[in-house]
Amino acid sequence: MDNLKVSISRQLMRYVLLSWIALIFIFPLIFMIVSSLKPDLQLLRDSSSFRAFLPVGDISFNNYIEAFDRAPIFLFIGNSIFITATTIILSMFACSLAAFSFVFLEWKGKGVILSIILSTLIVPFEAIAIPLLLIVNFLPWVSVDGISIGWLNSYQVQIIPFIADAITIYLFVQYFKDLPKELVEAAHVDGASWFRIYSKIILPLSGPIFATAAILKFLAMYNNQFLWPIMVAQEEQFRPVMVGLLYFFQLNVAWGEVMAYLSIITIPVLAFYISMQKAFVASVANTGIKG
Amino acid sequence: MANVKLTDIYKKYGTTEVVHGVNLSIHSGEFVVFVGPSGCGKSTLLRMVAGLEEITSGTIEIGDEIVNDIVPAERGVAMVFQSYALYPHMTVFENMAFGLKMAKVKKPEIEKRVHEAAEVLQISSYLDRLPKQLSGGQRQRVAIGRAIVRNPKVFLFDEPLSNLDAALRVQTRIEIAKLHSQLSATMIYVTHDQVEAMTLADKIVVLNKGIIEQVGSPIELYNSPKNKFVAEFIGSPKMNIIELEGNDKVSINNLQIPTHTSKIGVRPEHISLADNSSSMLSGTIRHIENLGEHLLCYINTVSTQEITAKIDVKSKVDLNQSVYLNWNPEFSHYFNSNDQTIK
Repeated sequence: MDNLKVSISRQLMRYVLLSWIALIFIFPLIFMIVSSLKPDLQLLRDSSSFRAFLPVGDISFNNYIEAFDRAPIFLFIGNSIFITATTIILSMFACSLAAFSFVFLEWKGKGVILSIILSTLIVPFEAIAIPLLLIVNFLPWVSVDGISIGWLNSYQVQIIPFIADAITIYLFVQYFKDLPKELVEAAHVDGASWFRIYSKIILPLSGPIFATAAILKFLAMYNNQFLWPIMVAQEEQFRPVMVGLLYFFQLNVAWGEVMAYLSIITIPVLAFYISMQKAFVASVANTGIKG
Repeated sequence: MANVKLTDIYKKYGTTEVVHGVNLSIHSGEFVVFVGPSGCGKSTLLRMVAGLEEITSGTIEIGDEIVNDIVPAERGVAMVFQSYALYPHMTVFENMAFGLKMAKVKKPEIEKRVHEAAEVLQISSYLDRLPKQLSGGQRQRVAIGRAIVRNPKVFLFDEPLSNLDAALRVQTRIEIAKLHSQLSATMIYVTHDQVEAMTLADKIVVLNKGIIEQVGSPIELYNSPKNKFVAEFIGSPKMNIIELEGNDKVSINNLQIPTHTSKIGVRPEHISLADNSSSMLSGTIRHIENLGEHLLCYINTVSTQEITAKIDVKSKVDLNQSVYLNWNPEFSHYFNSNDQTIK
């Protein structure tokens, strides 16, 4: 009986602790959404009390209406979704293929090349931004109008440089290493080509790591695309959501509108995470216990 | 069905040579078993035949064609892996059909061949299941089925029973033997279990440290091992080796020992209890294992060498009892100081 009491109280403490942690994580979100519904004056007045987290007082959707007036939000969200989705699709394909080659194919120097790729992890993007800008400024592009030079003010300049990255390749390499090598050998004996082995055997078994890599890529692309688009996308039609935030910091800053804008652009992130959550958790839970 | 011929096969990993010039001829329809301790190169040799491992030098012929540079799928081999290597996301049917699909065999023909193989292996009712929904034995049968449907010239088995429990291992062993007689195919089978080797093989190849120690029929290896390694490796419990030289040498009575003999080998099953006058050896029982049908007695000789004797279960023996032992001299194996058998 005593044991039962101990186990119930332990369980209770665990839930209290977890709920507390969950609240800490969710409070900023609540603050953002609640603030987006308040006029600026009330927002600032409430911010020093617990009322900041409660939808009380003069509540309305005025900030949202103002936000839509101030910036072409749908264009920015559309741009961000297009840039992010295209990068994710191309990145998953390119990085998983690269990792497949590193893990399953035998070729000279692959260890050195993988080390070089991984070493790029320590180089911050800010360090390569200017050289990268110079490079993309001189790259050719084929379009319906013929060949043009320079990628500035385009979607491809915000997509192609981010397709391959060391973290994603590393994630795939680690996951593929844990897959039984016999599956590849069996497929080899069965007459499958390398690409068939990749597409018919490895790909279907790698759902969780694709989900993890896609989520990480999504967050990196959607949330952090700020410095680079400012440098390469001067025209409004190519700007992503993070650059759109600047529209709200010109002259008088209306915090309610900022919160409304942030609430709107958070929706795709939440939708994406919720749709991938199962696979993401499975991938994290599976790490190290693959049988 | 096809012959397999290995000529001067060497395999190096970097600077480490693991297979040192293997020559072997396997006749069409033969069931050949590679045995040897871990790391002896038996799996490497099999994988080289499959084409999964490159050979450093030498030639491999399958059906009179040199296959050194031919990819696995075109060698006409099918392989059954120790871990089954079934594709987890495919049903049993899809697993078995995969190789045929890759070979662009027409759909009706695939269906026919898969169903025929499933019938032979009694897995017809599991065709729609995923591998995770099958027991170990069923998975192994699917793995064998995947090999059968391809109608290969040579079947390769890489320790296919080692993941099964003891009872299932015996059952599957019998099934593989039946399959061999049904298909009359050339089969190469790797195991470290010498019972599997003895029961399945037409021909056993004993490997040690990357070389072939002896090739022969199971009974040939059992009765006439070429050297001490083979003598000890074949047979369970392993052959007793009695040292006649050195500090703890044993003196044996009532036995004509050839000159240059350094060690005598005698199998536990050939040793029996004797009276003092006719005995060859004496010692004290240190441990007894009752296996139901017989007793395994571990006996220390005066010079502390350990002898194992497999004796009748009805024998009256006790721990620490002094016993006298003898055996039919015909069953003695004599080894020189290089551990080679003296004829």
